[in-house]
Amino acid sequence: MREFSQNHMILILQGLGWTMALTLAAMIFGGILGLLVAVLRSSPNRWVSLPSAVLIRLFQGIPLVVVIFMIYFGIARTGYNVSPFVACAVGLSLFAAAFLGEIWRGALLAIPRAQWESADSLGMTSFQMLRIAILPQALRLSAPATVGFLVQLVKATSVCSMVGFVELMRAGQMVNGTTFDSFRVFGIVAALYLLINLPMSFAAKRLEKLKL
Amino acid sequence: MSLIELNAVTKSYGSHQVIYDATLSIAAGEVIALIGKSGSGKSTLLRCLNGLEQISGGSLRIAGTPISYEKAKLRALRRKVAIVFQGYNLFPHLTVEDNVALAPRVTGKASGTEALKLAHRYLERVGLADKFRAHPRDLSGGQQQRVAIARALAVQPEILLLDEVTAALDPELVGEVLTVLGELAEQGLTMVLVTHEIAFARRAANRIAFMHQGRLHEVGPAEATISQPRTAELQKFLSAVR
Repeated sequence: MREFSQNHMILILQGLGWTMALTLAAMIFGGILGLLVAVLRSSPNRWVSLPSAVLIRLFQGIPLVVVIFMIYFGIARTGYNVSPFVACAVGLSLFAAAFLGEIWRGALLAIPRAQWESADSLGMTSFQMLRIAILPQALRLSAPATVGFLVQLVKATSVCSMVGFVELMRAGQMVNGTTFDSFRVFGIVAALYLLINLPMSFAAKRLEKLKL
Repeated sequence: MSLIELNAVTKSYGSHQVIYDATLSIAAGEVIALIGKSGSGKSTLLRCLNGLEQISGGSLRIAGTPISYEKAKLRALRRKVAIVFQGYNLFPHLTVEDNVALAPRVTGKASGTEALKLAHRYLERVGLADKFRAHPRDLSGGQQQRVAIARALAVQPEILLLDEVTAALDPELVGEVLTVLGELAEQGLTMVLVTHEIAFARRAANRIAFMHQGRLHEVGPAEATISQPRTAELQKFLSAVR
């Protein structure tokens, strides 16, 4: 057993860095995929909307940890080695895509039909209607819910500790394993999660009051 | 040659028929007011003219071209036929000038700065030279509707459709919008307007088309049709709205 030291703190802060990296990767790739899911899900064509409906149901219904285990251990069985970071980033991105996709689909539905008609009447293509007239409004409308979900996403990265990826939670576990100073170690870990999430929660609250 | 030619046009939603046998020719430069009770089919007929509603039967030609609901053809149609709605339907996240500059930009008629110049010209024309950078939410209903008119004019259409554009406005704001429409009529823009403003229709329109139960019940010169309605239904309608 060792005394909690500066080196332990450095390990935890490195973990924090990886937690943020995972969140960022999931935000970017999950965001892109989620946008696609939201738009396709809103299509009147069943064969277009069905795949995104399946993706949403699957990744909202299966625990994230199971998804990450399937990717990490499942793909390793085929002889192809996936790094823990990639496995976690892919799992989190799918998770984020499912939830963001559903949030944004709801926002797309909330844009009045008249706005579509108005864009249509100006001679826009379907893509122009989405890009110029509809999506900017939908994304603004869903900003509070989106930021709210990002808070969930930051916390969800802690699941990656279970495949041995040293993010914030795993770093905390490691330090705790040598110091047994559990209250202090996890207190610090908790404080660091809050450090990321509290500003986002406040931002979400403020975004709710923003006018379109 | 007439700019718009409706021949025995019908429109149904499933088994519910809303337009019967509409036949009408509208010449270039003509202003036609569609009047009638709510539910008489006048808005639906108007929306058929730019393809927002698909006709169920008969034929419709705009500038000599039979209407087609293929996507690219519809877009081409909308560069000829612009529409202004009752609820303005401006894009709330864009400034006034960007709303107006949209059509020339997306249809490739003008580059970014040209489109903006065009937008300023049309906004000046509807009396909103001081509102270029405002957002729609900062404007009154009458101002928003004038922006919507400028946005439709920026399409540089051959025909302007107006769907009860003063119906959502407070009474004191109706005048400013009607003034703009009156000017456009004088400048020779072809317009089809659905309206409840009978006095305005009489003054600004060339012809009046009265719709009743899905039919073009009585069509004639504006002044004569209002002062001496031939059919009992139009007489009844006019005495009810006065």
